Amino acid sequence: MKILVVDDEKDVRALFEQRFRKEIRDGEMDFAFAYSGEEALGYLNSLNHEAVLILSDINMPGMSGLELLKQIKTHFEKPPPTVMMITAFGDDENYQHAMRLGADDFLTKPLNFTHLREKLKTVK
Amino acid sequence: MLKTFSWSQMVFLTRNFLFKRVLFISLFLFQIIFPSLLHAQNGTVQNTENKYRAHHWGVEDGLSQGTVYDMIKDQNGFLWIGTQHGLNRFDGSSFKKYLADKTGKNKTIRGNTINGLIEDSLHNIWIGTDKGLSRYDIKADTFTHFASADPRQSSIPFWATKDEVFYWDYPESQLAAYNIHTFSKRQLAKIATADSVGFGVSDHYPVFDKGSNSIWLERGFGNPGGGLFQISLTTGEKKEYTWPCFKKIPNHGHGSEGMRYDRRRNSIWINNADGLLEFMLKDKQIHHVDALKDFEKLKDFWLWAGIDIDAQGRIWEGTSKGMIVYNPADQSVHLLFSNDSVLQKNVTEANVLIYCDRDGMVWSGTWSSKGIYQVIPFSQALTHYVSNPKQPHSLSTDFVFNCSDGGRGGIWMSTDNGINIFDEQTGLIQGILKKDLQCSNGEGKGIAIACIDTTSQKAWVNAQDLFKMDLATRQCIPVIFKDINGKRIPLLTGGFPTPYQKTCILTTNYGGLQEIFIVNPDSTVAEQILSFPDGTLDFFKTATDDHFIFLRQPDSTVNLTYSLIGRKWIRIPNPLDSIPWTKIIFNKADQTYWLATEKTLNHYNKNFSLIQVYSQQDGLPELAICGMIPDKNNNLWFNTESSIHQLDIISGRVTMLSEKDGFQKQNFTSMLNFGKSASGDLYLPGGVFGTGFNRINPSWYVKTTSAVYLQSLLVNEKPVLLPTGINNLKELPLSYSENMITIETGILDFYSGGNNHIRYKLGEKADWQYPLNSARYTIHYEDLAPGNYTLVMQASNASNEFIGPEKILLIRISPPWWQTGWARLLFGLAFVFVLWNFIQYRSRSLKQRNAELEEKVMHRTMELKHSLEDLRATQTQLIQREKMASLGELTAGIAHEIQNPLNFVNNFSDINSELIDEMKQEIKSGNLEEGLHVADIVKENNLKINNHGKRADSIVKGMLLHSRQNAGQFELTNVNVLADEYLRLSYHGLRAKDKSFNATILTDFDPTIEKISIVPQDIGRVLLNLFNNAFYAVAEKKKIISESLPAAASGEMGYEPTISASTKKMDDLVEIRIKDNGMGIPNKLLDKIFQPFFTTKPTGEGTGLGLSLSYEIITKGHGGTIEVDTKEKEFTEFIIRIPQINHSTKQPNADLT
Repeated sequence: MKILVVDDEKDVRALFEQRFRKEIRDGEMDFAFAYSGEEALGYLNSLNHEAVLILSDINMPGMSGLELLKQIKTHFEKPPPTVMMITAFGDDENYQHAMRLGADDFLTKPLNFTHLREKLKTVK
Repeated sequence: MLKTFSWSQMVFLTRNFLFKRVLFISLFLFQIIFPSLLHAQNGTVQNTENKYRAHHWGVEDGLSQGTVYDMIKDQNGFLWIGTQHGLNRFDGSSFKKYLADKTGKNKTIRGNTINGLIEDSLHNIWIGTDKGLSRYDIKADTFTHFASADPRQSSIPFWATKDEVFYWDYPESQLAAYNIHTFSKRQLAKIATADSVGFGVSDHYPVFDKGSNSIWLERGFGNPGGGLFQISLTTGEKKEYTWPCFKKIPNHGHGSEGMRYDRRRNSIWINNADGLLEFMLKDKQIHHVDALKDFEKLKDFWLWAGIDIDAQGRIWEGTSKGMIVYNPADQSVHLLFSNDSVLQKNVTEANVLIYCDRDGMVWSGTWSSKGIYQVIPFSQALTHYVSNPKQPHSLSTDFVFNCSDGGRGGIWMSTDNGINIFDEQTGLIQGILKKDLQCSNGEGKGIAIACIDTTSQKAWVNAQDLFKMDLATRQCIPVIFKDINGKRIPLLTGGFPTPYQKTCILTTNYGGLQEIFIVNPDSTVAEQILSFPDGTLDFFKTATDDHFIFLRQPDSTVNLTYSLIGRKWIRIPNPLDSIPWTKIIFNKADQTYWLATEKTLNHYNKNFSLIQVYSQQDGLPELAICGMIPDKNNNLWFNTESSIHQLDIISGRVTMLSEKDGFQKQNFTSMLNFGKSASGDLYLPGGVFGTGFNRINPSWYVKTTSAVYLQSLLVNEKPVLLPTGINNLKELPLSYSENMITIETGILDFYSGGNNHIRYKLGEKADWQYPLNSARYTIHYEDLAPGNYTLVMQASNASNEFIGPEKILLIRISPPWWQTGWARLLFGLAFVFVLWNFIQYRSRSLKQRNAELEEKVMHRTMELKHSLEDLRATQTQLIQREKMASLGELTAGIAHEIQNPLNFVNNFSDINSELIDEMKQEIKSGNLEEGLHVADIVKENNLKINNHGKRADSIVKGMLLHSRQNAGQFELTNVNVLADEYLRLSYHGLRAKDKSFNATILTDFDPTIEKISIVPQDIGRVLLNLFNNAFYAVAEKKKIISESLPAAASGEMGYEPTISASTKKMDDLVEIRIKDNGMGIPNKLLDKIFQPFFTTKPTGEGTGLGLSLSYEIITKGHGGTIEVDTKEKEFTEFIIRIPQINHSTKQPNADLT
């Protein structure tokens, strides 16, 4: 399963690759990383909307995660990919906003990777 | 007379054609033909059948009841209708009902059965009811009731003299009179049962004969032989006059039903079982009107009660066969509506009354509760003819594209399936299919009439080729085209014909050129006369008169006018050449030219001097003029794409044909043209977008007027007591507090059926106001200042034109008493008195006060010394508050900044423990290489943990540093790092508050800047303050844009909040620029922004100290400068310049830090 992780923190890549090293090794999951909303959209467009699951941070400079979510849910081919939002600000307003825009899930930082692994497996 | 038509190539029109027409067009390849103008010859006798139309009004329209006993039109123009139950006032579209009210108020009638209505010489209306006589005061809008001895019985007014009203006084069995000034009553004559008068409706009709001072009454049905009964008011003598039984029927009743006095002939017209009789008062002879004998022969023919005499002296009567008009002048008899058997019968069925009002309208009331019929004495000017397959002799198709006079009362219509000849007299149509003509063997059904010469009865027709046709025999001869050298040109098809004297001018394309040919009526050869490069001319607009050919150059202001000089066509410069006209016609009758442009209609005399320019102010429509034609009276008729108009040459007003004229909504193509018959009727084909054709009889076109009347008036939302009737109100005096006025108006108009509007203005020179449709009769004003106002009101007529009289109401609002002249004088005097006293008092007390002041100054000086110390302490507190406030804004940002590194620290240390376990496993299993690889990763992760730890550490330190109360120390600091750090803090601070907020951040830090000596927490505070302001400004702007625009649009507006921070090394100073594209600072506030406590943020959001502290820190603390460059609504840029001075480690010398 192709998963696109969108976060402006570059170390997220190392974190995900190590946390899911087993799944990557076994070929269960395939991660791609984008460091901004714009980069994520570019990635999705260039790969013909290949990713089936997108994990996106909300607070990013430039295009925010919510804007990215809106773009994906309104402009992408049907069915649009699953989008899970991640944020350090796990307040209700952010949550409602993300859900209104069609987010499939809403996770707060710090991420519980055991939990996330389960979620990703069920999506599959 | 030669008539020609214009042709054009279909290609110009194809684009606009409806699909259903396309088939025809493709078959009828070449020409569409347009009629040209023609001048009327002798008029023909109009068919009188169409001169009237009728409209029914009944209970469903608001009439109180349908059995109508009497009607009368009052001086204001209202029609009063007395019914078996209630009195009605009718304005042409709505009824105001008056029903009996037992409370006896003077606002209505006393008895509901209205038996008679008479207008006295003061224009008041006398009403005979079943509860006695009442009088309506037309000015005061009130009723006065006259007691009757037996109120259960009727009183019926029937005659008015200068001072009296005569009426039947049933309770007293007499004829009596009321003096209209004194209201004294006198007996005229006693009536006995044996007199056999006073029967039913005939009670309306007694006639007062001034000459003999006697009253003539009708004998009742019960009296054998019928007859008239004369009572002398001088002697009281009674005399009978009978007439022979004209019908010679045994035991025939002969009772009369209605009669009217004819002032001109001094006779009485009697509507009687024997027919129409005239009784001459001079010789007391009775005459039977034999002109009706054809009707009298009919089975079931009888006369109803209604009879009246119109202004022209014609006798109108209701019969069982319909309404009959007898003209004693020529003994002619007309039966109305003979084309419509239903209307013909209904209009007089159970007729009880005919009333010819002074405006020429005739009203018919019925006995049978069916209400009234309004007979309008002119017919609709326009008749729309369409095809009706069920009816023989109707149009063969609805697509008619020209109508031209073929002489002898026939109008030749060119259609998509042949020619239709319309007979003006009978209205019948004879169709000629192409196959019935010997013209051409070409394909297609279309035949287009190009020109008709009515004198020689010859026509040019285009049926693929051009032919000359004899109208009578329909023989066709082909027309040959020859070029300028007399050489025969192969067939020319496309062309646009216009008449020129006796010839026909044809403009066409040939050999890549635009060519002009001429065809003589006695020849079958079209000779070329002019030639132009392709695209020079707009053929459709070619116009001619008897001297000139006007050629229009498209998109040019240079047009070409040619005239035949000798044998050559020469261009003669003409004043019209410079006008971008769309149409020119010449009216031979008055020798004038009409020229239409996009916006105006210009009238020129034969020497091309301008007579008049008509514009929209004169009623010209907004749409461009298409076809034009003058009528017999030189009024100009024209059409636009969707309307037909008349320009009245005398009044200069343009009016538009409406439904009342028979106009039905239709669309015309711009190239259609009018045709005119010898009788003067105008014909406009419907063309591609319309159906059939329109026939206009210009002499039947009537411009009616309408008038505004007042129904009610509210002042401050309450009715007011008026000295006169509301509609008679000329002036309305009000006090200053009575300045909310609501006036309900109505429109008197018997032609439009309520389809009209009012307009009004307050002041003669003000602009007209048009009420909304929902309150189309309401005028409302609020908060009118004291003063005099002229309220002008006007109603539109049936054509929705405002040509009727203006109604004027003066509104005088008096000022309050304290604004009047004497009050002002009083105030002035009082003021002078008070001032004088005050001055006296002041001079006394001043000396005393001086001494007191001296003492106070001493005291205050002491107090001030203490205050200064307090103030210093307060200032320190305020500065700290500002520090904490800016910190507060940062807390969330800082939390986020710390949270992220901490997450990494936690995650990577977790992973490391897992990895170390893994490493151990590998080592145990002897996979040393793999173990070492894992160890590398562990080390890398450890480095990451360290980095993120340090990141968190520096944030916390910075925060502590920022909030420290005491002054910091000068340290060598990297300005770039400092700026970056505070930029992030500020950004996340705002993001924490507004999750949806995003901004583009641009940084341009000069890497050559060395560390400079500054107090980092102070400069940090300045930067933080400036960044916070910048983010606030862009956030505000974004909010304003998104509020003012829908979400989608605001996105499209492309507002991208942008903050930029840059540093630059300059000689001996460092420059920091912070710029945002936010709201900017208005010029008037620029002076204030560095003042303490000045803020534009909402109360409670800013301390107002940020910029003032920043200013202190930069200027006093660091010897630098801070400047601002801004443009309102566009950007703000702060420029800080700090000198590079080594302060070593000393305290800054700003007092305020």
